[in-house]
Amino acid sequence: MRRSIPAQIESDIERAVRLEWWTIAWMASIILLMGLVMGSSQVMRTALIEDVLSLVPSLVFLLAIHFERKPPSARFPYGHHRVNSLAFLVAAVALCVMGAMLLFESAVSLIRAEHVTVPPVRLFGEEIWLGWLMIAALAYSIVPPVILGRMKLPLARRLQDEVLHTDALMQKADWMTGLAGVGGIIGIGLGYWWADSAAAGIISFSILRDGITALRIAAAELVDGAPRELGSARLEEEAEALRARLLELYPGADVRLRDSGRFILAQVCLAQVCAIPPPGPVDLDALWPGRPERSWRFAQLSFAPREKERDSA
Amino acid sequence: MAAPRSAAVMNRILLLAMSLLAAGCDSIPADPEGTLRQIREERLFRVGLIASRAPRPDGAADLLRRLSSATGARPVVEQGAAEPLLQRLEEGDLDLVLGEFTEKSPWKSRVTLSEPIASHGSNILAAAARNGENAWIALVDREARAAAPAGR
Repeated sequence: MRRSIPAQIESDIERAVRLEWWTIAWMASIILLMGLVMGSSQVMRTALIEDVLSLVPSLVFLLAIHFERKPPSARFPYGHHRVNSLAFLVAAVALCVMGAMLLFESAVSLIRAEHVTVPPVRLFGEEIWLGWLMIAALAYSIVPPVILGRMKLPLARRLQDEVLHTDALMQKADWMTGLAGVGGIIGIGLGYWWADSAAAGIISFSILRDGITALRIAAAELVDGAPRELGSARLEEEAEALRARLLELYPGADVRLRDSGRFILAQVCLAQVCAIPPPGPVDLDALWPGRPERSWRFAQLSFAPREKERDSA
Repeated sequence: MAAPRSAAVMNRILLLAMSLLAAGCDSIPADPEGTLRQIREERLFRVGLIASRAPRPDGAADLLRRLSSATGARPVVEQGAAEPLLQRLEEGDLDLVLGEFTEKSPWKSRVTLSEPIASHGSNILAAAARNGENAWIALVDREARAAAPAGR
């Protein structure tokens, strides 16, 4: 196993960590503002819960990086790369819960035909419709997620980081919900009681779909599935190329690849005893068939004898 | 990705928001069920007064006078028990229910209570309106605030 964080991605990791701290700071300010404006409205309480939920991917990313940096130890001889996979599962669940909650809430209030009251409030001695304040707060809540999400996507691709990618999806969910909220409040202002719930309902489908895709990849990763493309259930091209390369070197062998967080681990099961593993250290970078700046992903190559078929009982 | 499209959607919404602002804030918020418009058209509003052994409070009469002059409609008042009146308010049979509520009234989520006109202990004298009728609620709220005796 190579060192815990490869030197090639050290600076990108640092950048991602900084971005996540910024995310937490911005989201905290949004949560605070929402809490001030939303009063006792049920719709807005849901929005607030979602904002808190959207912090989950950022938090688990920071936690995962903290552990990933630790070297292998006697208690964790394989190192901590897979903390990333675990964090990914948590982030994917958070995204799913957010989508499901939004869908449920909007369906319930549509079915019950809940007419949302948005009362006037007094602000600095002036009477003003709370809806305008809500729109202002929602407009503010849209800006940071759009920017942060955009900044995270290329980083997530370079780092092959599903947690960061899910976090970027969460930011997309955030700004879409904010936008839907603005549309909903304007709709309420115009006298359409269903506008808010309908807008939230439409958005919830897209969030839920992203969440379920993430959950599928996270599950595949945890049951040692073959490496998947970032943010999709398709098999990964880079990994497939590596598999082909290893098959070339060890013809007749059974080559198995799996993800361990952002890394790829390969196991070559040899059919014949004569195909002896290379003596001495292996240069994994030299074996990497893809672009050299991505060769850090190939973290381990292990050899095993092919298992003899057991008689089926 | 969907970047240009989402930007276009955002632009359109901003444009809509601005044209709404330009059109004037008078028509926003509006009532989904048209309570205020109907009151102005029919020149009357239906009020349920929650029966109580206490004498009719001054603030309630004051509020009705203020609402009457603000809308050009006259109040049609009937007295009754709280539950039936509130239920009819919820269904749109009444426009306003006046009476005493407790601070933690369970009706608070089913109807919208105005600013208290008066309060004694944990009881408040307030006007209840149908949920979501935001224009009417805004008007009732403003007049209730004005009707509330100063200093209380």
